[in-house]
Amino acid sequence: MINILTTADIILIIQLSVALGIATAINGVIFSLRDETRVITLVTYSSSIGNALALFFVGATAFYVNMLLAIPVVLFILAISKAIEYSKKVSKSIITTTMTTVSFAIIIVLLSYIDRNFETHQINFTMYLLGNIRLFESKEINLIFYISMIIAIVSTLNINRIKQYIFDKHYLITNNLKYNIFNLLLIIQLIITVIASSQIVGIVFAPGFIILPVIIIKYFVKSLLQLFIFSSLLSSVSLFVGIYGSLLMPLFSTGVVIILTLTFFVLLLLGYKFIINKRMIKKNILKVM
Amino acid sequence: MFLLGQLEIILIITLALSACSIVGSILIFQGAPYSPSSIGRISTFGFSIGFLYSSTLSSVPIILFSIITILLAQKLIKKLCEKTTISEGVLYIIISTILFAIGLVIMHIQTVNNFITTDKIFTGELVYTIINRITISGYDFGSVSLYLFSILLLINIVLFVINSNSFKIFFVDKTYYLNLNKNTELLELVISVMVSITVASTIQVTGSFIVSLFILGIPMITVYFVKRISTLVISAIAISTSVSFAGYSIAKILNISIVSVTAAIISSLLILSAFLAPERGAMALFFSNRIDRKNIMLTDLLNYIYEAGQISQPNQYQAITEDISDYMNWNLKYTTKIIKLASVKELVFTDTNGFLQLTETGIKQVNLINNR
Repeated sequence: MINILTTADIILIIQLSVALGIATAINGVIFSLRDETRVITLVTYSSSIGNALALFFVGATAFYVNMLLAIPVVLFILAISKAIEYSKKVSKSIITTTMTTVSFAIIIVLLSYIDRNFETHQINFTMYLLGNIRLFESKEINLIFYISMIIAIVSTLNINRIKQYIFDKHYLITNNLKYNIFNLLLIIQLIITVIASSQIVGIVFAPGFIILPVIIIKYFVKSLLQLFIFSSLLSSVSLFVGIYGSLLMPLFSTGVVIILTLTFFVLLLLGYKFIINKRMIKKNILKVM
Repeated sequence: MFLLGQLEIILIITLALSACSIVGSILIFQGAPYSPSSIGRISTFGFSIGFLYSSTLSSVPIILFSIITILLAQKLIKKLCEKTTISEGVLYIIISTILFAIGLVIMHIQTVNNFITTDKIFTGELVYTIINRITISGYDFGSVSLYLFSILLLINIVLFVINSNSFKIFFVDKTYYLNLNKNTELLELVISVMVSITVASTIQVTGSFIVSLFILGIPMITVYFVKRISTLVISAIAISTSVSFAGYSIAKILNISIVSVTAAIISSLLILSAFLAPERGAMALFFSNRIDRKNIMLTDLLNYIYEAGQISQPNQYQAITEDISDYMNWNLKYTTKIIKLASVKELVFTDTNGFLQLTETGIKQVNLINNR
């Protein structure tokens, strides 16, 4: 548990922020550009069932246990969503919203059952929903760091395929790549990233944290690579300031501080864009005159 | 006591669920441009402002501030949607996350001062702890929540009945609705008001997250069985009553929170109906699609034999299984299956030379299709 900040702790936080920032930004770019932001929300909530199940069966919420339980649960929930979509009775957005809440209901049922019937487990809903860095062991943070790094490296190596996946799935198919398998692999990658980030940012804030940097940076860059780099940078800086800030202010949960930091940077960037646009308009008017 | 405590709780859940079902039915027909869970998170900001003002977790100012916040946020999102290229769904996720974070900061400060846990805001069940009761000259007329949800249900019913015709036209054909010189903005505002008052009030029962399932869950179940919006609303209210009774009983037996059991029942019913509903369920559709595909293949087979027979030897109608498989690009195994089906239906038969021929019934069927 991190209580007093040593230099080693700060290095650990920087490592974690950079790796997790890159991993979330990669997934954010892929799914936001494909206009599948609702999938991020659904995966976040359904993967948290893994968290609750880990607590229910094992009595602990270690990262690897969560991951092992969450992957089949998320795939099962996604399969149910597909089955409901098959009947084409209601819109996709309604199905995703409902399945997201169904997942949340399962989490609440499990947690409230554990809370009321297992005396040994102390459930803190706020901790689960809003994230808390203080509850992490250093080795667990290291594990999240390594996994995030693997995601970042694998995605960088497959950047061309990811580009095709985002912009032209038919091109991906003509290049002898099985679209469905690639899609499944990317969803598994998203699940792992979401589990890693939701433990720090919190279940509730994880979707917003993944999407927000990408949506804002999109307005400032011209290429996909720039979007990857700058949204990773924004996520990493917000994570570092948020984690560091929440350690200094124990009253607030980590997720809240991270999101408020991110919001501050977003407002700063939007303000800058607004001023630049105004100047451009003025220049153009002067040119015309 | 006006009502027995237990019955009061069941009644509150039933009223809340029924009010939610009306709004949910409308949202399902509208295609729900926004998610009620995002609205739930947005309302937490208003909730925290109301809490700052009243210092209790369950009070009328909290509901009022929540409603105002939702309406203002919706207006802001609409404006941003018009001025930027960001989609409405993404804007809802972003704005709700930011407002939720700010709301929580306010709430954290306030709860520390008041020694109250914020867990209840997420998991609900605030109404059962409500202290406010209506007492006139020593006689207890029940809790404020009971009246609050009765009024909410009444408002939703009245708004739905007044606008039911407009809803029907608006959801089926927006352009036609505009051609009738009717105000779409007004109708959207009505829906928006219904959503905001329902979410703001129901959060007191369900918490900020399950509210979405309370709103969409039961209408989603009902949509597999009925077609008309009015029937959908009535059936949804009937199901809501049974679900709340079942939820309360199971929760008491298992010692779990009532809202979560109710939500679990709704989830299970939804998954069951999505898979098993007759005609519209995934299973029924899957099998009906298979039957349709088989029938189409059967027709193709009969046509092929008919044409092949006419081309090679007039009036003999013959063809070979392998040829059919090659020509139709079907799997040989599947081709044999379809031929078997045709034989069982007495549409084809195999002659002594091993050639397939159409029976009298088969020829009649092909002629019937060709005449069509």
